[in-house]
Amino acid sequence: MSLPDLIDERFEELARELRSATPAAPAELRARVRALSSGAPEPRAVRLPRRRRLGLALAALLTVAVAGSALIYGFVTSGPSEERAKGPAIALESRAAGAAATDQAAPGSVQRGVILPPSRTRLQDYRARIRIRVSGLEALSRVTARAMRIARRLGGFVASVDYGAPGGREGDAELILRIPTAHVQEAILSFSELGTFVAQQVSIRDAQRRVDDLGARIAGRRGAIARLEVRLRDDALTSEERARLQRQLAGERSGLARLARARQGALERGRLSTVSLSLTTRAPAVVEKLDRRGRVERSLDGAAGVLAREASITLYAVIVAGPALLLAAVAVLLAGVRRRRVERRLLEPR
Amino acid sequence: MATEARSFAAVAGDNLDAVHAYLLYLTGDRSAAEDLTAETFEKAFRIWKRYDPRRASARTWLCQIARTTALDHFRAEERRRRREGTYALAERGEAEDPCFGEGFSPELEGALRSLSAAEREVIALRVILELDGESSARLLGISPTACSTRLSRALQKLQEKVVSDVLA
Repeated sequence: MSLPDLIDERFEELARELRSATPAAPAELRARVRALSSGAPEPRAVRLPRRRRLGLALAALLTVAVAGSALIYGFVTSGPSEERAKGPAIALESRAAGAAATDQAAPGSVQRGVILPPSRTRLQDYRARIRIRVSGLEALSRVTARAMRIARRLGGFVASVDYGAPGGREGDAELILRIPTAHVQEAILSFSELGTFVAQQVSIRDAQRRVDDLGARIAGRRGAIARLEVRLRDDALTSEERARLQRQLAGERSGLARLARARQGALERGRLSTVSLSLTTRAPAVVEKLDRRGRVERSLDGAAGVLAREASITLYAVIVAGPALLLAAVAVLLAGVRRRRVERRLLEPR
Repeated sequence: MATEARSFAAVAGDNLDAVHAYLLYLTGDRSAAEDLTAETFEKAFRIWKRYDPRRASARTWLCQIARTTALDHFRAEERRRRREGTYALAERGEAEDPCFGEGFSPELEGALRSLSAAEREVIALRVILELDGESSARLLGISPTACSTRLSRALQKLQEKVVSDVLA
């Protein structure tokens, strides 16, 4: 009987001889193993290992969740095509149709959004961006000057103005205004009445905590300075000790000055808000083109967009984790190499 | 894929001789092989529930456990030798009782003893236990080609040693 996969038939006789006297396990060993086996439980029906079943179930659940959420998102945002035309564009159109397009917008006739009020008890870093459309170049120039006057009237100042009218037909002005936070709401309201309100964005960050923290550190420094001054009054100090303490005192004073400047800067930022006012004469490029696609198509488009975003997030995560994964793979490879080397050493002694 | 659920006792009974022979060839020491065989089946008994016959045959699975057990034994022996400064393997080599097979000629017995554990191992798996090339390679952690080459070289060396001992 030939042996499977042997390279050469020369070894057939040798192999036959080897197999002819295969040693059997001694009776004592056989009894030991039999005694061990008698207590073994019957095997369960063959199933996937529990972890693998759990893993498969989790993967299936995740896939369904991702696809389902994408489809739901797509469906929800695919609303009837007529609804798409509402919003600021329709508001602008109706305003233009119902009243003369002047640089004075009738209060309340345009959707301005909510002007978030600043806190009365905590210092805040308040920033607002407003975009206003005016009727023409002449109005642009007039409104720019008015915006600057409003800022000064409310106790603020103009940080920068960038005015341009290339070609003499359309123009833009970008103003950065610093307004006392206590009057920022009034300022935003006044600015929004300078023309047709287009867009607004507000961001508020708490600045009180930083100011309080700096205040505590300043108090700590002052305490340290006072203690050093007391020690320096001691006549028993050696010249080296006095020089060391004086250096320390100089360092503490310098640190105190830095902290005081930082606190002052934080207070200024909290006291004055930043309003970026964009004025333009340009009409909107497109008045919301109506989407004539069916709801299913829009839903699928929306779902595809969500899936594409999820894919890009996953790709980003893989790129970020890539080096770590690579290191882990190299570590696993090296561990395998080391294991094989140890085995070779054990099984093939020199 | 229907799989017949067999009891541990049946599997142990069918493969005891094979595992014992494998460990005998691997260690070249009868008493060590017996101890390691018992230890192998104890380990197998503990993890019997995790055995999946779709991944490997029972014999391959048991031999994998036996190999791990034997390697642990070799590591322990190596540490012991380093501590004691003696060479236990050399001492074992002086055993007079036939080890690998009752009916072997002294030349064959000696030739087998002269092979390394790795060489005897591949002979045991492919020739004595008749495992196929792929299973053996997977067990040894090498490619099927490397396994085939190792077997060929081992048999070549064995044959040459037998012939030279006979002529001597």
